[in-house]
Amino acid sequence: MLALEGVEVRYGGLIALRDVSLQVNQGEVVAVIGPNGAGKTTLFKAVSGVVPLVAGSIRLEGEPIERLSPALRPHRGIAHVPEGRQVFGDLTVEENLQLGTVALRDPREAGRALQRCYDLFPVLWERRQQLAGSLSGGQQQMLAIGRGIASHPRLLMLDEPSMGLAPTIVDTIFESVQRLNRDEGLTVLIVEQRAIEAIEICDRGYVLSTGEVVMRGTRAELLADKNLREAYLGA
Amino acid sequence: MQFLAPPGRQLAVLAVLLLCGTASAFVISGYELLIISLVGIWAMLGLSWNILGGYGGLVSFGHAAFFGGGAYTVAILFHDYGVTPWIGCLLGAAVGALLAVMIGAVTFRLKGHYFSLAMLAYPLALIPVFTWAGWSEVALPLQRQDPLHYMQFADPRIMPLIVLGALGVALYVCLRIERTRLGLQLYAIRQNELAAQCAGISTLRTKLVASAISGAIAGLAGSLYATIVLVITPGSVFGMLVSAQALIVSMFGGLGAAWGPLIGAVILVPMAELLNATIGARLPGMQGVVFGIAIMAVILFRPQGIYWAVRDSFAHGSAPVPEAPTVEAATTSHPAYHEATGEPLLVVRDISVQFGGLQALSDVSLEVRRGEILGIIGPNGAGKTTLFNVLNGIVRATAGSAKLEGLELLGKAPQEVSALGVARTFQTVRAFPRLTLLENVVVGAFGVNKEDQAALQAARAMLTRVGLAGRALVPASQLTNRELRLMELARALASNPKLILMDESFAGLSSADVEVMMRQIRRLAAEGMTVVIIEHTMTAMVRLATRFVVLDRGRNLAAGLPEDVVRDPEVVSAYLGKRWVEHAGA
Amino acid sequence: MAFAGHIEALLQILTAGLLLGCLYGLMCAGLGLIFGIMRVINFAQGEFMMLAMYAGLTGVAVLAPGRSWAFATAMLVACAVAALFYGLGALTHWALVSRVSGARAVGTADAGHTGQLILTLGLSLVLQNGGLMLFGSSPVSIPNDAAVRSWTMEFAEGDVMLFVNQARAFSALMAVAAVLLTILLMARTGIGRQLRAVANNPIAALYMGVNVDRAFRTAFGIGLALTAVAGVCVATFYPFQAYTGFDFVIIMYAGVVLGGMGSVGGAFLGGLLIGLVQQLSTLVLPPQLQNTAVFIVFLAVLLIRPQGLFGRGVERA
Repeated sequence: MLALEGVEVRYGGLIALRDVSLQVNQGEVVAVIGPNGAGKTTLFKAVSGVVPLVAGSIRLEGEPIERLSPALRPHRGIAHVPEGRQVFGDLTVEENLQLGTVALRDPREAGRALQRCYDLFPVLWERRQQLAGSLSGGQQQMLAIGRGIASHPRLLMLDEPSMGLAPTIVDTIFESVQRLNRDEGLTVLIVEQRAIEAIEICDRGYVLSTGEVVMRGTRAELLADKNLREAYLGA
Repeated sequence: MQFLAPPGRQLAVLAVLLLCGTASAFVISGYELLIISLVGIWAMLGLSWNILGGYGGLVSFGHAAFFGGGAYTVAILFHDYGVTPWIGCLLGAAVGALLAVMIGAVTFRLKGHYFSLAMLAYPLALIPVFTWAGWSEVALPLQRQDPLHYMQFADPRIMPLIVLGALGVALYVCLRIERTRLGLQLYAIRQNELAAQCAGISTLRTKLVASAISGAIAGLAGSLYATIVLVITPGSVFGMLVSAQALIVSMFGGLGAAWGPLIGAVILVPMAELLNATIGARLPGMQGVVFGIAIMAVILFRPQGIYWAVRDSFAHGSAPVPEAPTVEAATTSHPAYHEATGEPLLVVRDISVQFGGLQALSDVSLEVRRGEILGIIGPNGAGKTTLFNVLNGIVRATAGSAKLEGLELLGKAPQEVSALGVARTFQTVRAFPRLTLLENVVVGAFGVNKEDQAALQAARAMLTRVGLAGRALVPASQLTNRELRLMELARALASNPKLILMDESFAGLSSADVEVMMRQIRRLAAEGMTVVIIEHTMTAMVRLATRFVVLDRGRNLAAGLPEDVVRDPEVVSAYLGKRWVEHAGA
Repeated sequence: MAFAGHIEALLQILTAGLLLGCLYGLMCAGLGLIFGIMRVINFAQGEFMMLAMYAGLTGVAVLAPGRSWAFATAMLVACAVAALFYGLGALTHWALVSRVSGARAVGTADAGHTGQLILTLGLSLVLQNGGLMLFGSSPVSIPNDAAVRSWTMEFAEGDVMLFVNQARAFSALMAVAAVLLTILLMARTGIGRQLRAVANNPIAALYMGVNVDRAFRTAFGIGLALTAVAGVCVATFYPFQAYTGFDFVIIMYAGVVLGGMGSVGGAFLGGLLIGLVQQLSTLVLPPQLQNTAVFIVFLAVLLIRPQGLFGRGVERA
């Protein structure tokens, strides 16, 4: 469904991603893990189009999208839930979700899309008139995911949803992602620093280190691999 | 900018230019002579603006305040008290400097475009005040008795020559600034005020000194303007067009180079004046249109201005990497820090930081021992950089203490922390691209070396120490990533610190580069330097650090020897996830 | 009797300040909307207003209504001018401002703020002096019936009389209506939601599929349209010429800064306060120094409370 081929990205001469190839199939959960600074967030930004490619191609369902304007990519079915949540803090919860529906193909679906978010995260319904900036970290993460799925995307990209959250909340969030995948067949690409939670819910995974893919495999293969620990801790 | 370079060639160019100006004054006559004077005056005002706006990045929309202050000083003293403009011009310069320091002291607390907007208000506020005070039109009286004494010359060529002379002085002052520490310090402030402060520069003092010089030149320009045009109104000397012309001739000619305002004035002023003289009667406001279009074109197409555009296009032709000059391998006798390791140099106790509702750090404590390499690690958002910012005086802690050899660091300004012996490098390299490697390093040496020559020597020594002596004269824009990181290290070392805080110094480096950096850091430690380093590349850190402190979500998670810390289940779960230990055990 | 005279003067000044303040508020709302959403300070806002004044004058002259309909026509023309300036704003953004703002400015030293200020400074010089060439320097205003009519109110059995100029009063009403409409647009519509989202976090808005460039263009257009309406309204009772825009630009900055640089409502209140300050200052200062009082308020707010009186939170770096 999504295929990256030989992607290279530079920041002012510095290579951030080097020859990265990656594939996500319909209905899969694919995890990209790797330590801080490995280029995971850059990878997502490349797919969203906010950083330009130096080389390589990105295809969505066979169509090249690397030249498509970033504002149009959500309309093709890509939802990017950014690192650090980035909710619109000055807007209410409901307005945040409504902005998620900008990329809906049929605007009349908007009401139903919002209901779906509230069903998934009931706490958002309770707080729908509150400013998003006043939510707790976990609630903001839920809102960010809700805002992402409000556009009925074909591919949901989650950038480090566990960042700065307590473990129990991380569990809740990962469960809801699994539910979306299992019940609705949503394809998910997830980037995580905490490897194990991500591997446990994924079908396949890639390990990124200093801008390169250093390992790839199925969930079982990755769980069995002791080198992962070294990639992270140098031990 | 060429720090401490002899200005020989520039002075020769200056002399030739002034001679040309003088010669042309004898060829032409009448209205054209007035244009020479006006070019000189606007060039001076441009130079004045460029000291703050070009070198220091302090974009002022209100230089008319100093210009008008000078003009009115001459006019009022002459008109009301009969004081000769010869003295009036000097007093005008003094008034300009005084106004600039007073306005600067109040306004420098504002940053960026807020500063620009506030500056706009000063001259415009003065216009109604001067009108109300009865100075809506002040004429310099004609003196028939003793015209020479009152700067009223029968020969129309003398006034332009005086203006050119004053311009020469102003240009010389600017060239001097470019070659001494004031210029480098201003440049450092423009690039990154925080980094400059951390390198030990007292930014407010530097800005005020620059304002005084800038105000004096603007005041002198205004004084001469009054002497030439003989009648001034608040609108003609405090008006927006005056401030705008100062800015426009500088930006058009080239920001941050003494030649820029001169080039801008030589091109734009005659153009505007001649157009005004030919079609100005039918179409008034020609000057404003010319200057407006000029500045829009510059911003849209050549934001760096003509001087740099021409210079850069020449630079492309020449060989990009100059011959590496051999610098004698000065044996650096660094002040001995060879006390026994293990003794605490820095003691941090229970530091907490709050941003709005977010608790960024809570009760973080650690000890840094003399001569060690302490690694601070932790996942994203753990508060590592915030901790450095607190120690540096950039961020204020809500509670806690940090004592360097018993002296409290918290509550001090960054430059004071630097003076106490704490140096800092940043996550993203803060190089000054148009400066050479050596000049980049010199900035760090100003705090401890009061003499410019001594600072230069210290910078040379530090470049040798990190192995970059051969590249001293290469512009920073041509350096590789590894060289930039080493340069930052040398700049930190140049302040003669007891402790270096390094924030992600391996970011963007290849593994071979990382090895070079690690060798350098190990050698520094062996020589007795104490290093605290934040780094994500764990494989490197395990080999580099003598001890780890682990932070997670703003708290101390663990501390100890590297091999112990990476086996600590809590640390493993912070990085890999809490169930890793079960899986790994299974 | 002397006491009643003081009351009368004070009431007269307060009324004048409020009515004028509403128009200042509308100008400020335009500038504040552009700054709030794009973080761009439009130096040329006053010059666009001056152009709008001439556009209004031309519009009324072309329609040539009878004298008794001149004011009503001017208000209709104001709406047309608003639409015209919306387009002009979008065009200016596309042709000039977008080159030094938005995505292109990210990563430059100060996010392009200085470049934007200087570009719009150049634009203001061109418009101002171009205006001088086109329209000359003699002051004009839109001739109308309401400018010479006023209501008289009597209080305290005729001891205190209050005169309210009708052109000023209707203009103030028009200004309040335009601001309320804009606030509604921002708060209740999808466009407004998108604009606020873009102001809050442009990158995240991009991830939602919002066309950020178009949103900026819209904001610039609306901002100019609001100030243009204010210009036509002011032109019904205030003689203007090519340099008039500059007289108002500091008032606009002062109001926007006072209101907290960002929200439309805050900017309006800021402008209203500036109107009051300006008029009340005549009680203690000679009338020539009215604007000096405004400058002092402006500087004091910038230096003491840069987030403004109604601003919340801290200024974005």
